[in-house]
Amino acid sequence: MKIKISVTGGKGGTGKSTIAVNLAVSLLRYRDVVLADLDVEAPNDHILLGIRLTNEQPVKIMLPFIEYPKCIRCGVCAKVCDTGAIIITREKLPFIIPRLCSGCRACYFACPVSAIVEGQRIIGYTYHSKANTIHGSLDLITGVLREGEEHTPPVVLAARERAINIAKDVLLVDTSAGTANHVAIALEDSKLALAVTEPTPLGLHDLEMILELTERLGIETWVIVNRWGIEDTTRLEEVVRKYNSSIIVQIPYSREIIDSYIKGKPLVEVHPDHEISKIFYRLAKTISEVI
Amino acid sequence: MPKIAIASNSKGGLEDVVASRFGRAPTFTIIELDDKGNIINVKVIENPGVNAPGGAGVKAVQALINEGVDIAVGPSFGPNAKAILDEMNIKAITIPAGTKISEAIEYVKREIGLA
Amino acid sequence: MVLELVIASGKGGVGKSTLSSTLALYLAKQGYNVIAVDADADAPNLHLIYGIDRWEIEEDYREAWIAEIDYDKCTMCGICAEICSYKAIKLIDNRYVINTIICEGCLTCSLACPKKAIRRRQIASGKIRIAKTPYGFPLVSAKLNVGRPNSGKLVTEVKNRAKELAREDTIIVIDSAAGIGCQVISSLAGAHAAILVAEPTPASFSDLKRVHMVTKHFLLPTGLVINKYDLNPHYTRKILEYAKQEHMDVLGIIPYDDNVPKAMAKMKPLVELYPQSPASIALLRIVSKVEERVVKGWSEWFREYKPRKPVPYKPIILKPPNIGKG
Repeated sequence: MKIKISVTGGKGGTGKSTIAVNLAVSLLRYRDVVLADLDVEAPNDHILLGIRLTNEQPVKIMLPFIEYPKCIRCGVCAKVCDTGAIIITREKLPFIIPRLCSGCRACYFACPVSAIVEGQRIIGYTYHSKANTIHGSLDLITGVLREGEEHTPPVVLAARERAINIAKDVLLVDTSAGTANHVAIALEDSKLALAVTEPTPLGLHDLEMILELTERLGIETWVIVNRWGIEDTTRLEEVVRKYNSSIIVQIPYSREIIDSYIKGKPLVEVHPDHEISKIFYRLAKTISEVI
Repeated sequence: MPKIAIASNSKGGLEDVVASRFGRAPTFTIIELDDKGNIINVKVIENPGVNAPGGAGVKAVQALINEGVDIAVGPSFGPNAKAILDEMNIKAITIPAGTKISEAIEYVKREIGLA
Repeated sequence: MVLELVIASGKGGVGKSTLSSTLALYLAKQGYNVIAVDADADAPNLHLIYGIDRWEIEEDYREAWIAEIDYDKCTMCGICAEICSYKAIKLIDNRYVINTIICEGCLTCSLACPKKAIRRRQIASGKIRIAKTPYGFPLVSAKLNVGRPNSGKLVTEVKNRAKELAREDTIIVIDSAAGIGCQVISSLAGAHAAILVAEPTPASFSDLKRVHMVTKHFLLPTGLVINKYDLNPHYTRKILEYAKQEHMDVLGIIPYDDNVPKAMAKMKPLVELYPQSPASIALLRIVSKVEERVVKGWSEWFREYKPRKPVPYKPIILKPPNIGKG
C-alpha cells in the first residue's frame, strides 16, 4: 500500500527542498521512503544530499513527421495545432517546428488521410540515484527539464511514474514552487500535503494560493512555517483556519540550516541533536503514525 | 527578381523605419526588385504576429512565406523565426532599428550583389 | 526605443523581486518613463512590495480551453483516457471524468473521440491587473488561476499590455518567475537584456547555469547580481569566476540584511524604508550601474556583452523508421 506525501508551497525560496530532504532522511528511520524531486525546472534535492544523478532515462514526447507523399495539403494540421508549431510553406506543405510542439497529437488525429507518423523528441531526463544516510539508503528520483524546452508537465509526469514504480511504502514528493498545473500534477493523489510558508506578507499571499489548490484537489494539508520568528503570525493563523488546515510545525530561523544547505548534507545528518533536527524527527514520527 | 520583406515600425512604406522587433513589428514592407536592383513594387502587409499570445515570430514568418518572400529584414530574429527562415531558405538580414526603409534596401542590395 | 529588461534567476527566493522593484523605482525617480511588469504569474509579489491594495484594471484572461465530455454521446470506449498526454481523464464511478485542473486544453481527446462526444469550453486561465504604484509609474501584473497551465501565454499578454502603455522611450522592467520553463521563456522572448540574480549556494549556482543557458539561446546580453554574498564567500567567488568565464557583466553584490524581510512585511520598498541599510546601499549602487551601463550606454553594453559564441537551442529528435525528410 503506497502512500504519497507532498511537500509544496506557493512561494519560492521558503525552504521546501531543505524540508523535503531532511524529512525524507528522518522518515527513513521509521519507514521505507522514496524521495521524488518533481521541481524539474530547478531540481535541487540531489545537491542538498550531496550526490550525483545516476541512471539517466530520457523523457520523450511525440513529434509529428509528415509523410509528404500522402499529404493532400488541406492545412488542417496547422489549424488544430494549439502551440503554432506547424507552418504552411509556399507549396502548401505543412512544416513542423520541433521546439514549439507540445506532443499533444492533435495533428495526428486531425489529419484526414493519416499522413502523420509519430516520431519523438527528448525534452528532459529522469534519474534514479541513491544517497547513503545514517538511516540507510534513500532512493531519489529526479526529473530534469532540458534547458530551452517549454513544456514542463511531461517531465513531471515521467518522474512521478518512475517514482511510483519503485516506491514500496512512502513516496515523498518535492514539488516546485507556484500553483501552475505542473504543481497540480505533482500533487495529484497525495494523501497529505505539507505546505511550507514563511511568516511574511509575500509568504502568506502565496500560501493562500497553494491552500486553494490543495483544497480543489481534495488533499488534506498541514502547514509548516519556516523561518518562524521573523514576523507576527496572526494573519497566517487566520488563513490557515479559513482552509481548515493547521500549522503542524514551526521551524525557527537558524544559521545551521543555511550552512548545512551549503555543505550539501542534510541537517539531520550533520547535527542530529540540533533542536531543528528534533523537530524533523518528531514530524516524521507523527506522519508515519498518521498515514 | 528578389522579394524583400522589411519589419517596419508603423504604417510601412519606403519612408518608414526598421521596427525595433521582427516578430511583433506592426507591418512588413515588401519590396520587389528587378534583376538590376530597381524597385518595381512596394506593398505593405499587417503582421499577424503583432498581437499573438505566443509564437509571434512564427506567425510573422508564415505571413512572409505566403507572400513568397526571399529575404527577411529585421533588427534581430528570435530563435523560432530564425530556425524557420533557415529551413525555408529565406535569407535573414539584420539591420538596426530606426534605419530608414529606403536606406535598408540599399544595404540589402549590397548584401546580395545588386548594388 | 522601448528597452525591455528581464530579471531572472532559475532558483526561487533569491531576490529577483527585490532587485526588479528597486530598479523600476530608481529609474522612475531618475526621470525615466518606466513600466514594471510582474511576470511571475504563479505567485505575483510586486504589488505587495509596492504597497498596492487596489487594482485600477482587473481583467480575466480567457485564452484557455478545457475539454468537456457530453455523456449523452459517450460510449465508454476509453480512448480519451488512453491518449491524454497529461493523464487528466480517469474512470471514476463508472464515468470518464476530465480533471479540469490538470486539463491543458490541447483538445486531442476531442479529435480522437470516435463519437465526437467531447467539446471544448473557453475558460479564464488567469487575470491581468494594472495599477499605478504610489511612485507614479504603472505596474502590470499577471495572476494565473490556481492549477492552470500555459502561463507562458498569460505572460506574453501581460507584456503586450505593458507595451501598449509604453512610449518611444519607455523602460520596461520585467520580474520573471523562478524556473526555466514556458513562463520564463515567455518573459525572455523579445527582451533586450537579462539580469540574473543568484545567492551563493550550490543549488542557486546550479539553477543560475540553467537559466543562463536559456538566455544564451536567446542571444541576450546578461548581467549578474549576487545576493546575500556574505553568507558564503567561497561560493560567491565560484559564481564570480563563472561570470567572468561566461563574460557576464557583474553588476554588483548585496550583503545579507535583516531589513529586507522587514521592509517586505511593511509593504514598502527597502530603499524607501531603510535607505541607509547595507543592502539598500548595495542595491542603489547596482541600479545606478544599470542606468549608466545598460540604459545610457546601451549600444556599447550590448556589443560588449552579447554572447560571443551563439548557443542555439537544438532539439533532440528521434525519427520514426522508414521516413524520408521530416
